[in-house]
This record gives sequence, structure tokens and C-alpha cells, in this order.
Amino acid sequence: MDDSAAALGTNKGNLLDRLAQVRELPAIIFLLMSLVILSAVAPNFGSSTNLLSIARETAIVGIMGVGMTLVILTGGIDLSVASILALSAAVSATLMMRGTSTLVSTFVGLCTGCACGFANALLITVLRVPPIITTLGTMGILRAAVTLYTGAHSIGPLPSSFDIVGTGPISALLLALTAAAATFFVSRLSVGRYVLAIGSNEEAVRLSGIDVDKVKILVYTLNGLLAAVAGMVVASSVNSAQSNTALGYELNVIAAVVMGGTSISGGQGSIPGTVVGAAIMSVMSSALILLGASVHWHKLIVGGVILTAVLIDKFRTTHKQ
Amino acid sequence: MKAILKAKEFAVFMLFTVLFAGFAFKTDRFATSDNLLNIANQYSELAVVAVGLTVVIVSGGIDISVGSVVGLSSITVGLLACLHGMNIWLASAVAILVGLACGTLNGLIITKAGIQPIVATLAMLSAARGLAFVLSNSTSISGFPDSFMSLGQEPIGPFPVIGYIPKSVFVALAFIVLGILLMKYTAFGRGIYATGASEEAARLSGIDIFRTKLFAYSFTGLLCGLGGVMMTARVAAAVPDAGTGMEFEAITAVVLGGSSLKGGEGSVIGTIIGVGVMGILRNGLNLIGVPNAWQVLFLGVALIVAVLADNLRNTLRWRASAQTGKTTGDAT
Repeated sequence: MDDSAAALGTNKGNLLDRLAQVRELPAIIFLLMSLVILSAVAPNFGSSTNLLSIARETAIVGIMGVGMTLVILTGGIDLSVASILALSAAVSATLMMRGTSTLVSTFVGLCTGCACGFANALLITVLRVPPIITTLGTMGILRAAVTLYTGAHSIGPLPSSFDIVGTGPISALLLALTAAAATFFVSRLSVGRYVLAIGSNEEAVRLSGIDVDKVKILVYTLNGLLAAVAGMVVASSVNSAQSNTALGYELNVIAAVVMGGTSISGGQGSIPGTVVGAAIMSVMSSALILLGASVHWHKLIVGGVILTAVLIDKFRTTHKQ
Repeated sequence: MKAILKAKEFAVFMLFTVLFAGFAFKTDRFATSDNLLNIANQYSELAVVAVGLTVVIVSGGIDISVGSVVGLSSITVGLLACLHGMNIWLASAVAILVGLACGTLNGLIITKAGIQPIVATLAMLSAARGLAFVLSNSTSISGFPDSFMSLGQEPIGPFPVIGYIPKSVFVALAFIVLGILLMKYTAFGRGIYATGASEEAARLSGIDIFRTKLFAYSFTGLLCGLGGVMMTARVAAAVPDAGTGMEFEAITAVVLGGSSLKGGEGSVIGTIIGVGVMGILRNGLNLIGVPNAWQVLFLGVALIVAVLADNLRNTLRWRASAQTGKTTGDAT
């Protein structure tokens, strides 16, 4: 966002150069290309059921991706999002099965997500454990907690009043709202500006008298909340919660974020880009299924995609200099 | 400095002793020579992988792809030996080379392209695991010759006092000794410590940072390849999800063993004691009937506590050095 504006202001000469500075561009091109190719090649790609399921998948990865973008913008990372998702989904589902109202159960689930994110934040800020280690630890701890909590059983079927959350249109709406709110947060609120500034130069931000820890606590807690929101969408769409819900999703989310043009070293990035990245991830997994390829190709491709995206980012930053 | 390093290993050794005594007290099935050798056998793979990871972490990096590379190596042995009829030892060599290739690729991406280790190896974590599943068609492969399986199952002996020792333990010991020699007694090892402590200072004193780092990741890849072969021999099957979560245990062992995640500090001996802690913790908890999910939970807590202890140690040392700085200042 910031540097595309800067590019427009300073470098009016070469259109190609200016385009090259738009962070989201490679992702948008890639998404359009795959959409065109797939609608030609894969027979049922354009069917409404498939498009709705792609929309939902995009929403799940995208909602988590928005939170992850904020975290990565501060120069951190969160590997525990999929475990937070599973725990919040399990908590809500258990409450619903016990007869608590859908609204209250959902609220408690969202609070669970916040609490997990807050715990991560405390470890990272107060106790100074590096984000990667903290969240690698909590990824295991929270996943184990879900297994113990659910007793490895599937919790469901959930009440029909909860069904609406996981439908294609509603989940897409949730994603749109989340992305819009986060964009507003980053570009219009001073605390959002601090998020970007911390990622560029944490020491400078600290020295200008801003409480860096407070900003980080806010960001990791928001990330926990968004993982829980995604958890509600997942639980509603599969009508249950399990101990292995969304296992390994953290990689998809990180891939979506870096593909959207967010620099993994922090300070620069784009929330709309993350949404495009999430769309690419879900289009790809849908394509693999439609084309009859093994779903395990997905992991291989995700690895390649993360790598390509960070290499493009690296190329862009060195090119600019 | 030497005294401090010693103290670091002493702390993990104390933890090891306390846990050992605790489990021995709690259940009489723990401190039997059979059970202890069983732990040594099971954890020889983690020991080999953790030796490599120590080199990477001391150099200031990290490698979270180790578990996936172990899985890919395991599937490579299985495919080549059982499905394509290749000689088992040749297949093992190829698998170790596959590990080396993964590590070298990690190293090249990190050094040449300047990508952060965590991201580069995160990509490898996903890609290598995916490849293991794709190549094996998500099934486990078995039907290895007895001579191969004896590597992980048949012990050598009897030795006085200890009794029979599994072959894999000897393999692990060989690489532990190699790791110790490399880190302590070669210029390359000192280059790794120097790079981790301050990359800029190391560069200015003429150390080839590129070669040092590339070596660290390649060496780890090679050891992961070996770990995969050892695991395949022990469980008598090549499984695509072999080594899942191993990065977790390996990083915990290395950090418990006194290596600092900031680089420049740590020792192979400390790591091995750390692996020992992981081994007796898992085995002991199993013996007293703690379910697996609780064990994973403990390990997660252990990882964070290990890093916290490292932070605390650094703060204390910083205070101590500030103090001595003050006293010498007063003296002069």
C-alpha cells in the first residue's frame, strides 16, 4: 500500500516500473490465469456448488490470513492459528451440544480464540520468547488440549441455527468485513500505523515513545480472535468439531499472506493481497480435486508457492534499491 | 566463558538426573537395562538429527524442515529397495543423498537468495512432506531384507555391565563424536560459533559466511537423511508421515541442551543430554500411563520453558558481567 502510493507519487515515467511496484500484482495475475485455465480445463469448475465451496474455503484461509498479515507486518509469525481454530471450534461445539444457545456458544468460542492469542502475546512480549518458538510450542499445546478436550471424538451434529455461518455467501461476507476493518485499522488508525512501523524498525518505534508491547499484544489477540472466527465457519460448514480440525492449515495461511505480497520480514504488506492469496490457495485445492490429482500434491505446491512468493518479494526489494 | 558453558550443560544434566531418579522411583520398569537400551535405540534418530540442528542453531539459523526430510528419506529407501529392487545399502545411500540435497537446497535459498531460515525451511517442511506422500501414494512400504532391519533391531553384545547394545546406537555415537570433533576442534566449527555470535564480525575477520552457513544446512540435511534410514530400519517400514513433529522435539532438545536461539552458543554434548531428557520423559510418561496428548502438551511446555530458561540465563549473565565491569572499573 504505502510503497505503491510512493511509486505513483515519485516515478511517473515508466508504467511497467510502476506496475512492478504493486505488491498484489503477481498474485492477481496468477489468480486470473488459473481461473481462466481452470474454467477451460476442469469441467465442473464453474458450477455454483464449486464456486460456493471455493468462496467458503477462501473465507476460512482469508479470515485467518488477515490476522496473520497483521502479525507478519509487525515482524512476527504465528504457527498456532490452526490449533487455536480447532480449540475455539471444539469449545463452541461442546457448549452447543450441552444446550447453550448458539449465540452464547459462539461468543465463548471467540473469547477462547482471544485468550489463546493473548497468551501467545504475553509469552512473546513479557517473557521475550521469540514468536516462532512461542507459537511452535502453543501449536502443540493447544492441539493436545483439543484432543484431550474432545476425547478424540467428533462433536456434532450442531444445531441448525448455526448452519448459516458456514454457508458460502455468509462466510464470504465475514471475510469482506474482516478485510475492510483490518484495512481501515492499518491505514487510518494511529495504532495501525504503529503495526507497520514496528515491522520496519522496532527500535525506532520504541525510542519514539510508543509502547511496542501493547501494540503486539493487540495484534496477537486479534489474530487469535480471527482464527476463532474461521473456526466457527469451519465447524458450521462440516457441522461438527474434531481434534484434527484444520490440521496443518497454518501453512496455507502463511502461503496466502506471502503470496499476497506481504514481506515476511515485516513492515510492508497488503490486506487485499492476502485475500487474493487465500483465493489462490482455495482455487488450487479445488482444482486438484476436480482434476483428480492426489490431495497430497497440495502440500508440495504450498511449499513451492511460499518459496516463489518470498523470492519475488526479495527480487522486488533488491530491484527497488 | 568455559565455566559458563560447563554450567549450561550442568543444568540440563541435573534435569536429566532428577527425571531419571524420579521415574526410577515411580516405576520399577523404568531403570532396567532393557528399557534404557530401548530408549537409546528409539532416540538414536533424534540424536543424529539434533546434532545437525545444533550446528544450524549455533550458526544463528533454524531448520524446521528436519522431520519432513526424515520422512522423505524414509520413503526413498522404501521405494528404491522394496518396489524397485535396488540393493538396500545403495538405496540407503541414495536416501542419505536426498537428505543432503534437501539441506543444501535450504542452505542455498537462505544464503544465496537471502530468505530467512524460518521461511525457507517452512517451505521445505511442506514440500518434502508433500513429496513423501505423493511418491508413496500415501501408503507405508515394507518388505526390507533382514540384514537392513537388524540395524535398528538386533543388538551387539554382550558387553560387560551394559549388556547388549543396538547397532543404531553405535551409528548415532559415531555421528555424535563427529559433531563434537567438528564443533570443538576444527576451524570450521569455530567459524560456525563466530558466525552465530556476530555475522558481521565473522565476515570482517575473514570467515566465509556463505560456505559456513551452507555447510550447516547441508550437514543437517545429510543427518536427517541418515535419521530417516535409521527410523525405517527400526520400524521395518517406510511411512510417509515418519518424523512428523520431530522438529518440535529436536529444537526442544537443542535449546534444553543450552544452545541459544540467537546463535553463537551451544554444544553437541548439551544437545545429546537434551535428547536424553526427551527420551526418558517420553518413555517414563508412557510407563506411568500418561496418554500421548498429555505428553505432547508437556513437550510444548518444555520447549517454551527451555527458551525462558535461556532468556533468564542471558539476563543473569548480562547482570553479572555488568557487575564485574563495574568492579574492574572501580579498581582502575
